Amino acid sequence: MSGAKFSDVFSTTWKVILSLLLISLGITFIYFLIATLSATPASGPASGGTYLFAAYAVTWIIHIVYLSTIVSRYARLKREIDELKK
Amino acid sequence: MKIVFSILVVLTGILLWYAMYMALSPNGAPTEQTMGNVQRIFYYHVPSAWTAFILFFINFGASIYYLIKRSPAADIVALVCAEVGVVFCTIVLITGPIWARPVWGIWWTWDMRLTSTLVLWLIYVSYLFLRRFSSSGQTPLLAAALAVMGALCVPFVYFSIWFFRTQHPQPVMGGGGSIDPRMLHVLLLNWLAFSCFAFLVCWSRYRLEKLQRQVDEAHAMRSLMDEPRSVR
Repeated sequence: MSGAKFSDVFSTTWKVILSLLLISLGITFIYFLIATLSATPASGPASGGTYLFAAYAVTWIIHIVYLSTIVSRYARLKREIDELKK
Repeated sequence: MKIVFSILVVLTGILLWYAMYMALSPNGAPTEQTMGNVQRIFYYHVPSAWTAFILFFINFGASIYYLIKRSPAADIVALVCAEVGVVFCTIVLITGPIWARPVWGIWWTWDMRLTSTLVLWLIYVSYLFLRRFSSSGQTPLLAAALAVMGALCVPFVYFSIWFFRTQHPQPVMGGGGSIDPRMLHVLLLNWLAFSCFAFLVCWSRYRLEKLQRQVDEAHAMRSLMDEPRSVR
């Protein structure tokens, strides 16, 4: 059991979180870019933009929330490891 | 190992971004004529379902292995796959109604496919509750038995649209339905991206669980060492 192992995992997990945040920003950007460029009509078959955006946003929000719980569990474990070392 | 993980994170991030671009851009997947742009939910809904099914299948295999060999590593793999599988199954259950509302005019119907997916989700949530709240030494064994029973539900969910008349569309793969090759390409690309992402999350979660068990063992050892002093 060593603290170094923990810090290795923690940093990589944070990398995952940052990557996901960038991806979610990318989703927003691309969606609005496409929505603006294609200028779909307000009604008719092509008007499901809100639902489409909601589905993609919900997907990434769930993933980010789950990853943040993993990170918080790591943080709690780190405190426990520090206490055990004393 | 750290470098390999970091490289995989970057590659998966790029793959997810590209898959998402292909799913949303008309240059990637063509716009479906009847449903319009809302059909693009398909590229997140279906790969999430497939990924969840694969994770539940791995959970099944690891549970069987645990029941035979009593391997702690298999127990951790089973737990991790169930947890990440529930996350993906939750996404399926949320994106499905979001897609159904503009297409069917309703958020939910007690259709066989939808209901069986909800039951599958409930089985694995109860599996996680069992793992979380039971402190008995028999918990991994009971959880493995529950996982084996739960896994039997997976093929039922997949083939329910063959066995019963449902509102849900026929399966894309092996269901006799046809799909535009460009749509299939984007679908498989998204599935690959989600699978890589799920693998990385499982990897992180596996390491966390292993560390957690080591800390628990250290706590137990410390308690045992402290006990004689307190008795005196």
